[in-house]
Amino acid sequence: MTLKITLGQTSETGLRERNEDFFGVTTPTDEQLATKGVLLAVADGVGGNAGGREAAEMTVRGVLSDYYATPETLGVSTALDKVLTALNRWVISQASSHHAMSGMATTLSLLVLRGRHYTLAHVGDTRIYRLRNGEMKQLTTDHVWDRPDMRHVLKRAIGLDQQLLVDYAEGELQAGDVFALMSDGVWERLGQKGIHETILLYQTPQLAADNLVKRALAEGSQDNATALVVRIEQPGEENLADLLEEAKRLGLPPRLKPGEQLDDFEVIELLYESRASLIYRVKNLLNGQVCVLKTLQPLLVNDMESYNGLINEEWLGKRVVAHYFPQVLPVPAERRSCLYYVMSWHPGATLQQKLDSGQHFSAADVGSIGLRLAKGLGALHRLNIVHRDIKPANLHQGDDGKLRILDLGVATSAVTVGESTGNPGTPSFMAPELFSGETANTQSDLYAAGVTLYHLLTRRYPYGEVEPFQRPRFGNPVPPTRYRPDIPQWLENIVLKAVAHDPAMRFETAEEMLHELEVGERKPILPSPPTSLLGRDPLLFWRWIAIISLLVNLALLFKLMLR
Amino acid sequence: MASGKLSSGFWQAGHRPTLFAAFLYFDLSFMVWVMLGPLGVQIATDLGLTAAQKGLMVATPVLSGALLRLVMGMLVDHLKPKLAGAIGQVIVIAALLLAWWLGVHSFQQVLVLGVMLGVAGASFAVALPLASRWYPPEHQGTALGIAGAGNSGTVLAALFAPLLASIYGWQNVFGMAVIPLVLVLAAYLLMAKNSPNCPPAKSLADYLKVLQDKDAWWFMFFYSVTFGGFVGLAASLTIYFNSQYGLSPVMAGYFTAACVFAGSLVRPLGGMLADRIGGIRTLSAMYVLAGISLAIVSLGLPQAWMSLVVFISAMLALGTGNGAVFQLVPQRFHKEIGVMTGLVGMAGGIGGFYLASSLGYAKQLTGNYQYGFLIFAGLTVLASLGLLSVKKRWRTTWGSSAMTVAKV
Repeated sequence: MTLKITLGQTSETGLRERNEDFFGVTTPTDEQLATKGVLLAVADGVGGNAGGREAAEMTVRGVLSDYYATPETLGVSTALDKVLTALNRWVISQASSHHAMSGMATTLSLLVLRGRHYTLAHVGDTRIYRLRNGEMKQLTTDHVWDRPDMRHVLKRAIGLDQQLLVDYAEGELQAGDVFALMSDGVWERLGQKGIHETILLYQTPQLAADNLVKRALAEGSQDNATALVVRIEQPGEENLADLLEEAKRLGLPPRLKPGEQLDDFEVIELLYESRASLIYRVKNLLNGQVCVLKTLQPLLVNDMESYNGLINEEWLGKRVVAHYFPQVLPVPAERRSCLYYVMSWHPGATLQQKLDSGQHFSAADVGSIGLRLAKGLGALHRLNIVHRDIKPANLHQGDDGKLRILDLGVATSAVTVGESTGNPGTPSFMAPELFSGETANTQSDLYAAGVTLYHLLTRRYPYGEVEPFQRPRFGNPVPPTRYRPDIPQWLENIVLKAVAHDPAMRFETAEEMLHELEVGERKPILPSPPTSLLGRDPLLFWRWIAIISLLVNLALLFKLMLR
Repeated sequence: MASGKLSSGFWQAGHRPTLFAAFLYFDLSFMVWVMLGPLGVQIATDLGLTAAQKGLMVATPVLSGALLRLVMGMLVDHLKPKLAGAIGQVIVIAALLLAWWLGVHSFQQVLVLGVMLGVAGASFAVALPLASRWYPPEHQGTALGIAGAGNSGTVLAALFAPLLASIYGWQNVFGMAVIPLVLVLAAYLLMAKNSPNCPPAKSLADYLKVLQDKDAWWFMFFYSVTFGGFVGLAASLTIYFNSQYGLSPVMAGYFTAACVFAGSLVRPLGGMLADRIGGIRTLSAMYVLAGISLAIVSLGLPQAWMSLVVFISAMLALGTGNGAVFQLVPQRFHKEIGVMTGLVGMAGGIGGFYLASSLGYAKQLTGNYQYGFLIFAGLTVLASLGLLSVKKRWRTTWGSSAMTVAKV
């Protein structure tokens, strides 16, 4: 089920010389409609002679094209924010470099309709109204000075300020919802009541838009009048939900032996098997290419959570195009009889396999692994994807010397569906805050990266091994030099900073960690000060103080009584 | 810690009378379930039982209790917990009344009585769902803990049964036990109420599906060692202290009560320990401690108090282990919890049957208990090895449902 809408749009210059309003709509189809959605925008340019129109048009055109160029994993509001921030800078730079355009700025109200949700972004005094079940609601707040004589002076607009602050709001779509985006030339004259009446009166959005503008001008609007009306005929399905339906239909393949064939793939060997998944090395019989096929254990048939995980993994994998990751290979849907996906195969071994086979990792080895890991994580985090399961078993060192991050099985992005409470992951590599239920973020990935480096160096864990279903206490991490005195101080400091108990003490971004690993010995970071019990858990600290003082007092009393 | 806030919320949630009734029912059921143990010495003297027969006598209720748990579980699914519990109590009361009225005159009759007492042991499968279904997931652990504290009923039996038997004769103890049972039945009928939300009935296919998981078998084995050890010793110790050290039945009962009390008291501690330092770590330590204690006991210590100390340490280890197993099971078998508690509980009972009867046979065949204890100590070693394999397999990625913050 895809999203279906009807549109209406009108813009009139009115009594003014120029139309400084600008509007635009992008209605993509198929895959992009599902992942990105429909974008509608209305802008009202101000100032700078000819610049008002310029600013409005550039901004709307910019957002219409750039939004669709952002990675799909970002999520709507993050993607919009990135685009709008860039556009804001661009408008400011244009205004300052062209005299004719100095002082130009624009309001912007835009609406993204995707699946069952809408996201609106708003800055300035254009407005968005929503009509639902006969009730009219203004979804935006005007960013103007609240004084009678200054009601046309914008507090916020694109091109006004280096720091752009955009209002975002999200909500669900219902069939029959009508959204109306309009410039102040329309709403100022009609008022909410007039708008409500007009939209109720005309069934088709185009007629509604035309009449909104016509009525505003007839009632004496001095300004440009622009209206965009959209009606939701049918909300779409959630992004990955279609895929899940498909997966349920497909079912799971049985356990395969070497030599057996599944669709176009012949199994060479079973590479790896975990509680949930089976990973085979296979040969594509169509082109002879050797690749990796990942599927679920047959025991998990109809386990929706696992299905969801595998689909999510393939979906994310397709979007992570970088040489730090194995690449998901396309398999046409009609050639796939079961639930699985295929990715590129690279000769080599995971770091865990290397540890198990007794390989010794020197400080230099670990340093270079850290560099590549930080680069890979940076690439992932820029796509707004959190891996959530960084560990030696998921890091693959190819014979080509490249480090690849495997297994996006529990990774999340802004568009991941089916979130439940609790954090997946491998307990020993999970950051302390995850145990108290906070959501995983880039910093918890960096923590896991730190534990990975620590483990490669010492084969131990900074806070001891954590078992599943345990809720551990975290004290101070044991410095890795305690186990291996040959580790250079600068590397130890980096590892200890990465695994700091307090997220605020850790690296903020993968790039920061990368930088520190790059400068390494030349400009070492300071060791983080050990936190005392008072800092970590003040309640426990004072409890111990109380207990000790109680005991001392009892002892004194006892002594007193003996006299 | 949020325990203060939690407990106040806990009392608001759920249904307190039901929880209390479930506790009483569970407590007294456990009392009569292991009753033959403390009475064993006196019964054996009157009926002239051999060591192996003594072992089998105390082991029978444990086994039938374990197997009947599954039956009771099905009754709970089909008849609602309250009715199932009432039926169970009536059967036990009737069996005890008959035993008191007609008297128990032969080994076979004791065994029949033992099988009927097993119905009391199966109360586990009724009392826990009866109470816990009233509570939201975050309070279920506490509810199960309170209802499960009924384990302490085993202490009552060991404390009072031998004393009463020495005054009024053991046949009359069956009649006397009926008094509190009837009172509790009345209270139960008044206070207990079925929870409006009941999960769908479990089918045989559910059981088979869970058994495809290797971990399920291991956890059944782990519990058959910890709980089996606990309940097997609870049933056998009176006879052991009597025959090994010549203690009077009453004294032997007190010794047993001390051991059982220690074991049932530390169960919550096991859960807390597993929470803090990890269930596998806790269980490993407990198996080592229990194994060493049982090995020392098997040497046949010269003084009764020495073996009491060692038994207490064994019981502490086994009791803590019980708590640790049940900290892990609900989290590991999050979705299949209903089926798994039934299976694990059954395995525990079978372990108890094995230990109690094997001690009797060891005495019969070799003249002392050494091999019985040694073989069971061997089982703790096997369980430790199993833990190693589970630990290795568990060093993997866990889904979010497995790592929920809310403790179940």
